[in-house]
Amino acid sequence: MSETAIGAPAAAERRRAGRRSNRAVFWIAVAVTLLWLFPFYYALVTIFKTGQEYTAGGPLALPASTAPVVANILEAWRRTHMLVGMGNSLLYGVVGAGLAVFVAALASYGLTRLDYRGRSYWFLLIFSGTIFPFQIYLIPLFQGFARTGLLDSRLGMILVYTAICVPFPTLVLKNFMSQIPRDLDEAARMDGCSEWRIFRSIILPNSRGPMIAVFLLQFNWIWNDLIFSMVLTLDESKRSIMNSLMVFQGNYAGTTPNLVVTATLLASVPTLVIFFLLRRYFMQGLALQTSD
Amino acid sequence: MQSSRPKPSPREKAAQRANFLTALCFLAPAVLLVTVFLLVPLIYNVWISFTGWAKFSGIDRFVGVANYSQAFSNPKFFEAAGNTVSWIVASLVLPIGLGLGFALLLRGIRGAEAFKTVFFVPRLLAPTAIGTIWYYVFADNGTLNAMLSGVGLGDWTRSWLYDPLMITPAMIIAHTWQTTGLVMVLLLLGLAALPTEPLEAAQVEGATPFQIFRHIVLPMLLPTLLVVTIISVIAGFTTFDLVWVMGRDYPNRSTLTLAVHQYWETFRSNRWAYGASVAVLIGLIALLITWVQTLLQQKLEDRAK
Amino acid sequence: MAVVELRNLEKWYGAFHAIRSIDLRIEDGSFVALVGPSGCGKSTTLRMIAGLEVPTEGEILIGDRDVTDVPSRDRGVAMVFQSYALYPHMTVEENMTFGLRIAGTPAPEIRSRLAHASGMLKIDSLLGRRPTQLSGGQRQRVAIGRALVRQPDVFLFDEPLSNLDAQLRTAMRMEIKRLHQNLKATIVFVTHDQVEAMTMADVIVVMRDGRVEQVGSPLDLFERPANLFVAGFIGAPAMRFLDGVVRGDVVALDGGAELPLDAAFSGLGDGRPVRIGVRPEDVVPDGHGMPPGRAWEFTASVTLSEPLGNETLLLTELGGQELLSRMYRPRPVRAGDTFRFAIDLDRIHVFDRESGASLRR
Repeated sequence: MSETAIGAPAAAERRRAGRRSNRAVFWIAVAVTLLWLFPFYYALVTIFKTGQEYTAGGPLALPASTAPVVANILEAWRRTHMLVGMGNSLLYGVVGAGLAVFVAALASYGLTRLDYRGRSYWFLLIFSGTIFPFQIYLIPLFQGFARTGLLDSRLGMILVYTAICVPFPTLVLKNFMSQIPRDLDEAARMDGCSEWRIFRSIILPNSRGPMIAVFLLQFNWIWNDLIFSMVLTLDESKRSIMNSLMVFQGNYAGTTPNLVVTATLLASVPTLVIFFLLRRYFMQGLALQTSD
Repeated sequence: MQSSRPKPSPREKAAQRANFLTALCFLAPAVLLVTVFLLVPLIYNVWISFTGWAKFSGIDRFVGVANYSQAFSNPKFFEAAGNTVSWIVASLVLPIGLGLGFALLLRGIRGAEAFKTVFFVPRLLAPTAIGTIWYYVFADNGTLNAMLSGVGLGDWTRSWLYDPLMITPAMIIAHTWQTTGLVMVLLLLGLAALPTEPLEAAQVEGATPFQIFRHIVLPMLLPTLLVVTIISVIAGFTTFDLVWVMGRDYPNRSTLTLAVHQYWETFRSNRWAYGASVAVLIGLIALLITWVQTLLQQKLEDRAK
Repeated sequence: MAVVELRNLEKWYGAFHAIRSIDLRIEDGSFVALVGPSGCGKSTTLRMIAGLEVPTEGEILIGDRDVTDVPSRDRGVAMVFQSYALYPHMTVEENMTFGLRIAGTPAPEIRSRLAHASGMLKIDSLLGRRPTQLSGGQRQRVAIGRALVRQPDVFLFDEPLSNLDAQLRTAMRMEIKRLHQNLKATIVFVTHDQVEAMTMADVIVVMRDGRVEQVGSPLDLFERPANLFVAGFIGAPAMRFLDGVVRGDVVALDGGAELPLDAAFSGLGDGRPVRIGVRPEDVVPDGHGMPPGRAWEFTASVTLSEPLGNETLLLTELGGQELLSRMYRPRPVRAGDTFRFAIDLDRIHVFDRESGASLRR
């Protein structure tokens, strides 16, 4: 029962049919979409069940009532120490992504508004951070952090997340800033601005859109991260939210699916909220991804 | 009358130097962060892979390629590598195939924006979250088995997450479910960017939609497809979170994929130098794929000229 | 207000010799136009005065102060850019006061300068708007206003009118000229349009290939061009040229005719190849213009006519070489119509064919 089986006939049928009315396509699309979404159905149905209800009925059965959800939420929140996890991830995300985007903006300014030799090499240096899969950083970071006392520290996590989140925004902002006309800089210079002032008062205000888009993308990545938190934190007080979730899920004692699924949804709420509120910035960020 | 004098004057040199120093100030934070936390660790990792080192014992002897040969003679490594190959192939074919199918299906219909959103949302969620939900889909008392029993296919139920043959496909399905959305949206963007004239010309010449697709749309879509493919493949075989979470019951976690193998051997079995070498190997594979991509992109560009 | 002096100015871009040793003195309060074809170096020169480019060799002096190594903001100059370069995220008022605010000018001073400048340019009603909400002409004024409030010693204009439509351009020309009269400021104005230069400037500097070809008042350049390039560049419609060879005190044109030479051109060696320059207004069709004093007449047929309403331009030939004639109080003309033309010998120009230099004594 795989999604491949569902997708293929629909696509093939369309090709075979030749001229097809839009309406038929529309309803097919609706059907495909609904089938595609069944994990969400499962999740939604599960959070309204009690533990016993879940084991008694099947996993796909409709819940008896919506009442249990409050208890589920409270229990899941308590058991996963979600406040701590969310608080950490919020800190890592806001500071990490925010700092990274600012640093990237600085670097992009240096790469696009000033003339000197070897510009592209400096960019490659910064961008080389994204070329390799993260496995290659885990061991040295662990060792290095252990020796410098940054292991299991929030500061260490922020630093790592910031560093990882610098290259991609640099690429995006570099491309964006190179479109800003140079004579704005020149006018500002004649108005008496130092380079820093030009950056602060001219370039930055005109780069708001891409900066926000890229901040959201990086925040989301940090929020979703598991591995770096697993490797670089030891105590649960420093863990990211996903790390807490994973630990909870892997804990067999008394964790029924309804609790775990509730915890999962809770942990995902901020992502969904950000997305739906700021969809237009996200889609902008997406277009930027394809343009590299 | 001055003769040809290409070298900059002292004044110009001073201006260039001042420019460069200013630029350096702007570049410094980014360069420092990336160097300290990414590039130096990278080099250090490669170095470690050539030493013999157990955790903090401080013995750093150079052992050449011993770690690498250890990897190649480790059956777990091979199983993990084999699975990783499955991941690579699957993340090459499935998201593209499905994504393309959906993109064609959704192209230009009413409410396309809503459909796009729905398919795209899984992409934003954490792989950990996705893995958790799909764990319960494939669990022994999970939705898949329930659905099979429900339609009378009770014989087909099994312990998906314990079965060596089924665990990887199950995880791949979960992963594909997550990533197809992004691929689909990118392809929709690519399709939307296609010029309509060649398509209209082909229609006038009497080509069927299928022929139009195969001979005109597909070739024009190739550059987008290429970029999308590479993102998909590399994300596919380096994925850790989802595999870790879904494979929690699996007895031989270390064989699930190379990424998990690397983590397990390093942080749970304390074989640090070995883990470093596996990380290097993973990196090399990624480099290889990126290199192939660059080559193909070059070829496409040359052909377009 | 100040004098601007360029001494021995040179600029290389890699192997490209953009500016080849320019010496120029711009008097206090004068309106100087730098004019020439694309790539002649006029913008580069302006930018060096502004401090946006660093000269390879030479000095720049503003008000007797060597500013070659001084940054733009301390040179006492303000620049109006071709694309106006208004800060898109700031209002008109913020755009205009940005430089003053950075310099820490006290608020009352800023306000009074702003009021003065915006009043002069009639943009007071636009102060709260953003550049995207303004028309091209309005943006132009704001750009000028931004320069005005800084009360610089020298105003620099880099082709500011090229992005405007024809009507607006003529209107702005008048405005800028009026501004100059009111402020009595030193203005350096770069343009590729010689009509702009002629109508606006006190002094025109004609440039080509990084060199100064001639410096002079508009009338100077028109009546006494120093070489073929300036002669052909200044004046519209352009001067036409006839090739010939000196024979005593006449020039034997290719194609047979012989033009007697003025005393101003005496003493040229026999056999010297020359080029005669004749402006269309100095080729008078019989009955359609002021009969010239010393005339040389010929009959020819018209190959092409361009009726402009107040005058018609007639393209004709003399000995196989093209000549353009201005016909005042025109009547309808068809190709092939014959006319008797008179060339005003007092107003022809003679140039050495090889060097291009004027042979006027």
